[in-house]
Amino acid sequence: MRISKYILKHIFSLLFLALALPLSAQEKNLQPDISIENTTFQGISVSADLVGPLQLLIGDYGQVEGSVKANFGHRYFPVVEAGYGKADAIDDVIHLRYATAAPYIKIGGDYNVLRSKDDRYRALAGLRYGFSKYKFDISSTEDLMDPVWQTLSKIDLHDVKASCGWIEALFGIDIQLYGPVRVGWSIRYKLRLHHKEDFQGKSWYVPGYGKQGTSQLGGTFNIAVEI
Amino acid sequence: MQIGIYSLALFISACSTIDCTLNSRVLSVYAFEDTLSDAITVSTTRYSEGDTVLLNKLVNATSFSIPMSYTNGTDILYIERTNTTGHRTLDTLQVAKINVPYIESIECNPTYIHTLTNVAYTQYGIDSVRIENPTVSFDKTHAHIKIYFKTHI
Repeated sequence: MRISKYILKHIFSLLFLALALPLSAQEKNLQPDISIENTTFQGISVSADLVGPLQLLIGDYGQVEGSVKANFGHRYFPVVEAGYGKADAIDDVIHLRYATAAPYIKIGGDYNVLRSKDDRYRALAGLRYGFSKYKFDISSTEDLMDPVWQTLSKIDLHDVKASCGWIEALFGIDIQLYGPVRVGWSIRYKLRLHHKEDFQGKSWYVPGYGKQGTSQLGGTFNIAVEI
Repeated sequence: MQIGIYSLALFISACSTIDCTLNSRVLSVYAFEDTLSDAITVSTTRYSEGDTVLLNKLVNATSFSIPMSYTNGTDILYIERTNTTGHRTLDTLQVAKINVPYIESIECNPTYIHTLTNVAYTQYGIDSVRIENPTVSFDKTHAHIKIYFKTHI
């Protein structure tokens, strides 16, 4: 049976009309509406911190740090941060020198608390667990005088083993700069959970954590590229 | 943006401070069996300047605390005991120890912690000496060495 050209034209018209309707709906929904909760994987981003290298340049200690962050629904961001911390400090009054260099790692996640309709701006609250295993040197740059017995001595400790674990609570802002490039900063409160030093005394600087103490305040300024 | 990063780096560096412990002196504690009414003077020999008095005429005491040398393997103490009639005895006490440096921070004065290994002594005014607690550190609440003096000299 031959179908008339007239009928065939109408059949194809109806088919194209049926396809066109969902396509136009998709065009309207290209911008993600992150005000609606979802956990769809959106990609990963890699970033580098700029504060740590600047600390190394202007002070006695600092770190080089990068991170890889996954994006789930523009809301949940599991992250792994890793870096290399370094210190080489001399106290000119006490005449002691402390030197260390070691890697560290932090794992955790961020949550975007901003409920706007697009993903250009994020306000992130996050947690991290950090750990570093390192060795350090402590030495006296001048002879130490025993105040009572008046004898001179030197302190010269090398490759003293130590480790430290801590948690970080952070709050930060993240902004889309241009295309896949984002910038952001964070303020971090660090709390030391456990530490071990294979000598009598305390580490002056812990890679990734900072200067000694049961708690620390820190921050980062990141440039990230979304992949 | 550059000023912001620089300021943040300076702020973080400035926020870290070290409080050196006020209790940073390491002293060895010598306890007596009973209250000693005789006067006790403790001295030692400095290598550079001769003898020095560490404790001068302590009376009616049950203990005394004196510093230990940073790095000497043995501290030699001279314990002079003078009774109420003026009679004196002079004993030598040799305390052997292992010394380990303690560093709170490079911004705080270092000190040494000691582990007592042996005591040797003369017995003119002293009956016996015993190590009670071999670790000499910042804890001064417990006696490290117990001295048993003779009842009369």
